[in-house]
Amino acid sequence: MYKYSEYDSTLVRERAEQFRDQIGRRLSGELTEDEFKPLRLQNGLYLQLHAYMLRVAIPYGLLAAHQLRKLAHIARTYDRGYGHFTTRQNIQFNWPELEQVPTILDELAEVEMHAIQTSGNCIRNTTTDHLAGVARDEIADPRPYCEMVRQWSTFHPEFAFLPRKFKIAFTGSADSDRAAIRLHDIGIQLVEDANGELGFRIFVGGGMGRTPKVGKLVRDFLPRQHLISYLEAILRVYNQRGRRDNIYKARIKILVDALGVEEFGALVEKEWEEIRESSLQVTESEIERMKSFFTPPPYETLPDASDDVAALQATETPLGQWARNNVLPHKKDGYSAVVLSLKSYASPAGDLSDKQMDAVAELSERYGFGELIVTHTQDLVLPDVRSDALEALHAELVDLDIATPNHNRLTDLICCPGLDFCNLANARSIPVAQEIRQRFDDIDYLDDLGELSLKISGCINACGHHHVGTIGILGIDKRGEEAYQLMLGGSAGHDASLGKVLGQAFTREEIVPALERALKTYVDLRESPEETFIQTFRRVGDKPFREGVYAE
Amino acid sequence: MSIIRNRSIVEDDFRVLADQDPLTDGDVIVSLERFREQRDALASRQGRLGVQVPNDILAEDLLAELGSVDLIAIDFPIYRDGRGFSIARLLRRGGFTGEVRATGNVLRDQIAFMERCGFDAYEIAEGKSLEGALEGFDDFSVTYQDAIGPRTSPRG
Amino acid sequence: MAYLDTQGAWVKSIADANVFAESGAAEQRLAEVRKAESTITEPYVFPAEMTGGQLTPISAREKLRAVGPSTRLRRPDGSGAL
Repeated sequence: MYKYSEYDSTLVRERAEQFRDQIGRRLSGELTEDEFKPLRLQNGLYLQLHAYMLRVAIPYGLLAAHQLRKLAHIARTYDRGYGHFTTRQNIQFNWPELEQVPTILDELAEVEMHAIQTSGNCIRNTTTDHLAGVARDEIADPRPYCEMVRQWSTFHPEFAFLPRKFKIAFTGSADSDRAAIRLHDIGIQLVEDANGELGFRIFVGGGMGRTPKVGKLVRDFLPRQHLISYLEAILRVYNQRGRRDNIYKARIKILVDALGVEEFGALVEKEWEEIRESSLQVTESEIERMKSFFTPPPYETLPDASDDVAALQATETPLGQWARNNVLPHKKDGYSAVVLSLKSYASPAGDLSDKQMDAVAELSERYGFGELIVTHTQDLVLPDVRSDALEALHAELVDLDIATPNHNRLTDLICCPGLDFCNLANARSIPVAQEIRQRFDDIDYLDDLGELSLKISGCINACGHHHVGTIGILGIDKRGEEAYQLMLGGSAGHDASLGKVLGQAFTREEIVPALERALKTYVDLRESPEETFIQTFRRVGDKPFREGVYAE
Repeated sequence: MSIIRNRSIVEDDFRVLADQDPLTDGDVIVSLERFREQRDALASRQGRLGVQVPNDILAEDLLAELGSVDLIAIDFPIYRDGRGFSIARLLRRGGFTGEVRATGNVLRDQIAFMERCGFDAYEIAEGKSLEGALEGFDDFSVTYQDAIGPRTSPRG
Repeated sequence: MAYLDTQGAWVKSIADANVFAESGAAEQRLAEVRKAESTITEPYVFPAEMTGGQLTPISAREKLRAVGPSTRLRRPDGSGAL
């Protein structure tokens, strides 16, 4: 992974010092809350329903074991013993005290971590595929380019006060987009041209929230040396022309919609013409330098173990079920990528205790090369597990309660913190998720339902990505009471689509039975068990589902 | 009034000329509206000319009109409206060599970024200390963007 | 997170909070607090009612704020309460 130079360390240290000073000026009253707010947001410090919340950046989801240990220590020492992994591959602490935040930042700086630009109207964490570097369907590893964009976007002097937040995501895979790039302000796909030269396909204006949009193609092929200058051109157009009068209309997707993608693209090209030959050009040696931080670890030369893995997956045991669902193919013979499901029904999705963090850090060293990845679906991945060690790993995961074999199944759901924690929410989401996980805990039933993404948001800001769930649940406020809308047919991949609300909202008591009726309708209507929920939905449309869910 | 220019606190040698004030000689700053209406009269005075612009104008339009004035003052109506950063950058890229001044809600925490975008003078927000603002320049000794490639320097 | 009591002090429990019979007086007190305070962020008033002798907020949000998250705050590893 990227190793901080003296340069990077200095930057992070100075930022922590700057924030310590800003907090001091806030506590002394020299800064009003209004003035302090954008500053603390740019350091990832939110004020939530019960307490401050600190969001720590995990660039493109990649964590080293020693960093995870530090996060465990912070959870233990300054928080209530746990952390929450987010849908943007970051981690959140829900209970820090304001006075202690500078110390937390100092501790993070010791392991090359920070909370820079994890909030505020600036460029946020650049995210990517959780299988980057190991996926079989990868054209190239996107992470060197993610790191390049991270550096370019960190403390960019011109783009610190954008109309609204800005999110960039990369994918390196042709077949499946595990990074949901079309739901980002800028989505970047690694592609090759006719000569095999690597470049980028650029989408712009995707996003969820109040006005969900699938990103539009703005540039079919961008030669790789122009990555940074082209992004700069997009940001400059947005910074100047994005709306500032209404925060609900300030994202770039609104601008792209208002101008149309052709006109928007033309404005970008016009600006880009001025800077494409400047020092913003990315040289091949710079690309090589970035790649040098992401060279493959010292894999052993092992025979192809896919038959053994298949045999394991065929067994009707908890180990077999787990192998079927949570063990993913790896580029390198004899290796697998393993999903650790942070979705046991005991606690909110994405939460991990300090003890579990320490244990997972250790596992990443014994069953890999000391690295792990945070997915954007609130799980973790151990990327380099020897396939012959899967059984042993599974046993250890069972002891830690992170062996739930439900990856890409109904109960591998995304759930935002909701009204229990969040100032913005209209309804609680976590209890709904817990009820769903408890009710649908039969793994055979889940396997029969097959590939399904359920996403729950407590309000229209869509932090739970409900628009792009196969099934989405949206918490709303209905005359002061919590209520829930059911949506079907969303997708976040290359075939991105936005879910449609099925009908009238449900009460808290009604929503899970309604979900169950939707599932039953799918099972009744599918042409075969192999036809997935989304395939059935796209084939038959929402009418049969509406009838099935709302029938008396 | 004291301002910050070239990282020092100095007395402002420009005087703001309100729209209804009579034209005078000397170093003055006028509104964009007045500049447009009395362009020739302003140019034929003795003394330097500065123009205060709102931040919702595109820099390319400003360059066309104001390329030869001595000072452009860019307003920050609230600190979190960051359009001025791009305007300053583009003015410098377009070859403007006069003073580029940040006015309105300018916080010390933005000042280092402003300098790197091409501002060289600042009117600090009311009630905030100028000495405190000066410290803002030194918040960071290194910048990422230098590492990727040399950025356009403040003076182009 | 804190409530203003009758003495002007900030307290943790809603049971000790200063209650106003009508919103005009509450808004007036809020205006005073806003002027005086620099360490309490974004104070506001909200409606509550007496139910069974207990002061209870009316909205779901304020109910949760008063008692804490409704999810059982257990450590994710099941090793007990937070």
